[in-house]
Amino acid sequence: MRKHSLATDIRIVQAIATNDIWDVVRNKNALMVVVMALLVVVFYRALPLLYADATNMSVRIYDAGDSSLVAMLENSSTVDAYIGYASLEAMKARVADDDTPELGLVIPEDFDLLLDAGTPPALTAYTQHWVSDRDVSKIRERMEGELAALLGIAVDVDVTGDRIDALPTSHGLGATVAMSLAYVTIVIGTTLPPNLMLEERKARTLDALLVSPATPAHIALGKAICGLFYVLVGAAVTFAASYAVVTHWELALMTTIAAGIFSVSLGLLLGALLESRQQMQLWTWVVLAPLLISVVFVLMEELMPPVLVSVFRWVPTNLVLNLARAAFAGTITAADWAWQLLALLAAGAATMIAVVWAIRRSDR
Amino acid sequence: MTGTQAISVQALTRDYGAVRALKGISFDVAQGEVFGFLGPNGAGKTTTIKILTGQLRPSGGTAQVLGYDVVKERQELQARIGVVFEHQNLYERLSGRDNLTFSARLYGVDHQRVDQVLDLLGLAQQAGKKVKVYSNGMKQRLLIARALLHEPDVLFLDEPTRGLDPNVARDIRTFVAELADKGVTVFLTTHYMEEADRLSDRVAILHQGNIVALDTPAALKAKHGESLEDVFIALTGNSLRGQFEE
Ligand SMILES: Nc1ncnc2c1ncn2[C@@H]1O[C@H](COP(=O)(O)OP(=O)(O)O)[C@@H](O)[C@H]1O
Ligand SMILES: [Mg+2]
Repeated sequence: MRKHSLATDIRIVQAIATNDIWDVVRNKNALMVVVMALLVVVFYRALPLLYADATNMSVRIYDAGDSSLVAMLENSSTVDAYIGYASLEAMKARVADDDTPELGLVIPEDFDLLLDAGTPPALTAYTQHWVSDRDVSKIRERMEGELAALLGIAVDVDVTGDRIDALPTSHGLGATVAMSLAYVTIVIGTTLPPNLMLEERKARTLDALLVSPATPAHIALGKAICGLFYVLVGAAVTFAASYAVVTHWELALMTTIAAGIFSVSLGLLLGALLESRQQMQLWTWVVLAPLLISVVFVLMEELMPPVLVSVFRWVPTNLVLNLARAAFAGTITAADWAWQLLALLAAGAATMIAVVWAIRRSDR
Repeated sequence: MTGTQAISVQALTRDYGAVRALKGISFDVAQGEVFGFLGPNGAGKTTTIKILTGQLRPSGGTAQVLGYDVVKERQELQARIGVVFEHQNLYERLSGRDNLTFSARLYGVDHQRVDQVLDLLGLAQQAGKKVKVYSNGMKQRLLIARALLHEPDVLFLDEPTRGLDPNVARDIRTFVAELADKGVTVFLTTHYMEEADRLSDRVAILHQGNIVALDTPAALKAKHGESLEDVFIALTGNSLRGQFEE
C-alpha cells in the first residue's frame, strides 16, 4: 500500500468493496449466509408475538394493602395473575424481565374501603418501555373490562405514567434483541469475508487481483468493508424489527460498529488461513460454536457456576450482548458499558493484528 | 534499465519443496520482441511467468522487467505489464463489460478505454452478456482485453491458445502478431511448436527447468532439423508430442 497515493488506495479498495457488495447478491453461498442470519433474527422477534396473542393477559399485582380484588383476579379464567411481590420495585423489575407486553397493576391500601363506598379510585398500572401506545390502550381496555366484570362497577386503569425501563441485567425483549444482534453481527462478519476470499481463490480471480495495482492489504480491506456493510444491514434489520427497545441509540450504534470490526476481522483471519471449503466449514463452526454457546451461558447465569459466568462475560459475543442490553436499558452510567466497549474494540484490534500477520505470511 | 532489454533474467531458480522446477535459467528479451517460451507440461513455463510478473518469489537468481526488480519493485512493475493467465480467471457472474470496468477501476483507467478494448477484441456485441455463457474463445479474448486495458509495455501470455478451436487459436495468433507490430513486447509460453515458430522472433526451449536452446526459429531449424519438433528431439532425446499425451 505504501507506494500509492491515498487517493489510489481509496479507489482500489472502493472498487473491490463495491464489486463484492454486488457479488453477494448474485452469489448463492454468500447470499445464504446473510439470509440465514436474518431469518434467525426475524424468528426470534416473531416468537414472542406468536404466543402473546394465544394466551391470557398477564398481570403482575403489587397489593399495598390486603384487597379482595387480588383473589378475584387470581381466580379469573381470562387473566394470568402473578402476586407476592415484596415491593413496587420488585414487581416492576419482574415486568421488565418479560418479552411480551405485560401490565403491572398497583392496588392502593384503601382500595376496598373506597370500593365499598362506591367510589373506587383509578388503578395505577405500568408496562414495559417498548410497548407501543396502541398496545397500551388495548391492554388497558382489556383490564378495565375485566375489572368491570369482576367488581360490577367501572374502575379506571391509568397507564399514562412512567413506563418500566429495563435494567442492563434484564431478561425481557431487550435481551432477546441483544442476543439477535450478537448473533447476526458475529455470523455475518465471520462467514462472509472468508466465503468471498475462497470464491476468488477458486475462480483464480485472486491471481488477477494480485498482478493488478491491488495489494493483499487492499484486497483484505475491500472484503472487510463488504463484510461490514452486510453486518450493518443485519443490524439495521434487527433494530428495525425492534426499534422501540432501543433507549440509547449512540451506544447501540457504537456496539454494532465495534461488533462488526471484531467479527469481520475474525472472518478475514479465517479467509487468510483457510484454503478449501471443507476446511472453512469446519473452522467456522469451531470458532463460532464457543462464541455462540457462551451467550447462552451468560443469559442463563442463574443456573451456571458464577466463576464461568464472570469469565464468559468477556467473550466478545457476550460483550456485544451486554453492551446492547445496556443500550436498551433505562438510566445507565459509564460503568455499565465503557470497559466492555473497550474490551470489544481491543479484541477487534488484536484480531486485526493477527490478520496482518496472516496476510504477510501468505504473501507469495 | 539495462539497454533496451524489456526482460532480463539471471540464474533464476525456483524450488517447490524438494522439487526444483527452475534450475538456473538466464535470458534477455529485447523491447518490442516476441519471445516464445516453448516446453512440454511441467517444464517450468508458468513458474517463470509467475516470477516475472511478481506473483511468486524466486528461490535464487534475479530478474528485471522493464528495469524493475521483480521482487523489490513489483508494484511499479505491475502497473506496466499485462498478464493473460493459464486459467480463464474471470468473474463468471459478471458481464464481459463489468469484468473490464472492475479492472479499469483497479488500474485507474478511463472508462472509454473499456469500449476501446472491447472493440479491439471484437467483443462489443457480447459485452452485456454474463461471462458464464461465453465460449472458451470469447473468454480468451476477454482475458486479452483485460490484460491490455492499461496499455502495458510487456504482455505475458501463458499458453493463450491451449484448448481452443483452431479458428479461434488462429485469430488470437493474428492478434498477437498485430500487437507486436505496434511495439508491445510479448512473452508467450506455449507447447505448440508451430505457434512458437510462427509468432516468435526468438524461441527458448525449456526442458525440465533448463533452457536447452535459445535462438531464432530459423537458426534453430538450420542447426537441428526441419521443424522445432526435430530441434526438441535432437536436444532432449524426447518427443515433444509424446510428453503431452501422458
Ligand atoms: N504450487 C506448486 N507446488 C508444487 N509443485 C509445483 C507447483 N507448481 C508447479 N509445480 C511443479 O513445478 C514444475 C513446473 O511447473 P509449471 O511451471 O506449472 O510448468 P508448465 O507451466 O511448463 O507446465 C512441475 O513439475 C510442477 O509439478
Ligand atoms: Mg503452465
